[in-house]
Amino acid sequence: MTDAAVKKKPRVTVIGLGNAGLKTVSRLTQSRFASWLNIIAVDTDKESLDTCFAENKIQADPEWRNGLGCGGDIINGQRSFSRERPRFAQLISASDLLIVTGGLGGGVCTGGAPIIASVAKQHKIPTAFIMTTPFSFEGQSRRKIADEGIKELLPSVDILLCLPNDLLFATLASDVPVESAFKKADQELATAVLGVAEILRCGNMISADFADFKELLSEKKSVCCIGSGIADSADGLNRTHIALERMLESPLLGSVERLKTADAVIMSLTGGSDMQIGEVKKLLETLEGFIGKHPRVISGVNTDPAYENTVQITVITISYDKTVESSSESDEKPRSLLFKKAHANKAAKVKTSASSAPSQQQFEQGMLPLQIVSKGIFHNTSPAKYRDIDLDIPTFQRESIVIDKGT
Amino acid sequence: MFLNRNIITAVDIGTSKICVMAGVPDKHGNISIIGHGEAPSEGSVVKGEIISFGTAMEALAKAFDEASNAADEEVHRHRMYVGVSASGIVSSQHTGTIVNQDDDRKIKQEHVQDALRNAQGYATASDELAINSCDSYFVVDSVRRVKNPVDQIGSRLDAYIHVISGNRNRIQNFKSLLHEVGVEGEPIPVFTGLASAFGILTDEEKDNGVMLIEMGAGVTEYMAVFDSGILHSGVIPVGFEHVANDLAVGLDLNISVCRKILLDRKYQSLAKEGKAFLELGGTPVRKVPVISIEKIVDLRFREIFNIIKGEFEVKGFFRNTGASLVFSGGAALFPPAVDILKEVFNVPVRVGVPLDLRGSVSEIDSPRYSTAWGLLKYGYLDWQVAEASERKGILERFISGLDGMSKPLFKNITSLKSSIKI
Repeated sequence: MTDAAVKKKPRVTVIGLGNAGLKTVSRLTQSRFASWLNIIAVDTDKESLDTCFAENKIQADPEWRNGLGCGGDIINGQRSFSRERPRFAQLISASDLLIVTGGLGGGVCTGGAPIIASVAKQHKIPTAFIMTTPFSFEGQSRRKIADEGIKELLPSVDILLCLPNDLLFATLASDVPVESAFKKADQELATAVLGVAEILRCGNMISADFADFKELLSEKKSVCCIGSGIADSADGLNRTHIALERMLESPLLGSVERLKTADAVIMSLTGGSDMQIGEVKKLLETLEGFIGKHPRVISGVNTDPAYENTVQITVITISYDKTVESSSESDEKPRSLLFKKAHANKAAKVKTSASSAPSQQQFEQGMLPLQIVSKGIFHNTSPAKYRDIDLDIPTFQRESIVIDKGT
Repeated sequence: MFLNRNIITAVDIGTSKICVMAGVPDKHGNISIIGHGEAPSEGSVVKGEIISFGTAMEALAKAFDEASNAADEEVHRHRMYVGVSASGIVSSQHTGTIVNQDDDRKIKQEHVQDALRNAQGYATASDELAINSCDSYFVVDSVRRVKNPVDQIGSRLDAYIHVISGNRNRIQNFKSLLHEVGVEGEPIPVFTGLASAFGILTDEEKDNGVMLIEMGAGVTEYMAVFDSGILHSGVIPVGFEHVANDLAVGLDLNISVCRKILLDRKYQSLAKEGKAFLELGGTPVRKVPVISIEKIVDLRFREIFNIIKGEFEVKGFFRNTGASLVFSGGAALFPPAVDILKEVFNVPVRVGVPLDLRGSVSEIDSPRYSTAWGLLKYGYLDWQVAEASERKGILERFISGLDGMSKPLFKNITSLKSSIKI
């Protein structure tokens, strides 16, 4: 008796945004495991689109941007992508799941990602955003832009994974050539995206599915690491062990310690029809040993004909963000004099005024930015107070969110 | 001759409109509307507080005239209930205990009343005036929590009541405004959230547990009801006007233009069609990105709802299963607010409209009138209780004790023995 109920293959769309995103999806297209994904590359920069390998390429907003990038300006990114909303709606409306990848900090990705998120929300499509945050050597301003992007995205997406770029080169020796270092980084990211797509597939044997993912990651700011390892029969009988080792060595994972100290761990194991139950058991048990008792664990197992003779294991560790980000302290100090940031309802993000000296000794007295705190029609009335917050001041002003006023 | 009709008048003084409703009991024993009048407040009431007496008086007088014409009666001469809100309203829980020393240990109605009377014996600050007090729940033998303890076996009964009090002077403000317009007698203040609860909640909801959020132009009231008892209530002095103000400040627009943007919601249809900019006429012509409008509106609503959600969570209300949410007030007519509410709370949400409307009604089944209708219903119940107690003999009153009994929120009239007033 054959299995009458054939599970429908879900339609998963992967969108790469901006420079970094394009490189990632380029890599992804070249991988044989990604053939079931619908891959789209989106950018305003025509040149970078031309060098990308993806099947579907969209040049956003050709009339206004003239085939150039957005110059690291979020507003430009937002404007360009807003104009393309109907096009995006058409592209993604048939999908069951949307994965978006890119590097936050640039204009196209940071400006465009929230737009795509809102289009997906309108069409009620689940979204998973795998974003990288800039290298520390790229500077403060990019970091700040990336943080703003995260703030924008958090409420509108179902899943947001932020991967720090710094981890990519943490395990490389300093004599590795630049080009191969970056190529390896792209490969790692592509594998990471693939790993997430695998986890989110329906039809798993032991399913770690979207709802689990969403419950852990929605609305919470977190720092995530992804480790991914592949091994096939050519590696011998011990292939699961080798896959595990490769996974633990992946740079984006950080270190094995992450597994123990994470708040939650999602792991997924994919293999072909030849994967044995003994292998699965051993693998999951070994992983449990690494992870320990503290984190919350969700595991999934899946088989796919494309994975004949191969075994792939992906692990995502999630640590919720409760700590001060020391790199942005010296920057935040003058701003905190002007408005009290009331984060009573978001995930606990404690900001203390910097008592430790900033890493760069800057003795320049900069100009304090003048921010007009306006109450509009309520300026003559007694303030509406709730627990020391003046609710008359517009919410977007208290949260320091930039609003595009148009022309 | 006219004054013999048992007319009850409800006055809702709000930030966007002042509304007067008059009703009489019909032959089935329900209240039915005989007249309704309203007038826009025109800036005399801001965030629920009266800031310009003159304009408010004019609007109120207009509303009264309209209602009187419709009802063919001078509505301001009768028993009047006025809705009070705004900051300064606090709610608190108090308990009263009695020990049951009867031989059969059965809890009788007198025990319940004694416990309720004990609960009333709490100290109030000198500038506070208790407006309403309602049953929350009863606990028998410090363990079992019940809705109606009569006929249960127990040695000890704790009665929990929920008291809503406000600043004495501010409440006097409302009353004196009414007196200026020519109202005789003492208008009875009622918390607007409580009034809405009366007006729009179904019995099933009250039993299973429901959260009520009433968002008007000036303030937002919230209330948690479970098992026909009130567990938590409060006021946040933020309303729909704040959303319009946010838009005005954020986009450098005139406030009236912003109010219009919100009312006709043209930007939503633009968003659906995929256009990026909303064009506003004038000199110079403004093109405002739709996403900015959406962002500002979303942020403000989300903040308000998260604050209220925090309040409910602090009091542990979410632990009660079966809780759903009813959203009412003028802002309930704004669909994005309902969507954001569903996302923030993750429980079934219903837009509340006046229930059991009777009488000469047209266009009153809108969430904007839930407070006024609720005031009428509450007033009717209150009036019935007052009448019942007046008819009692002196001896019985002496035995059962008349003063200071908490008003059971939704109980049957026959079990009541005295009135609520404090």
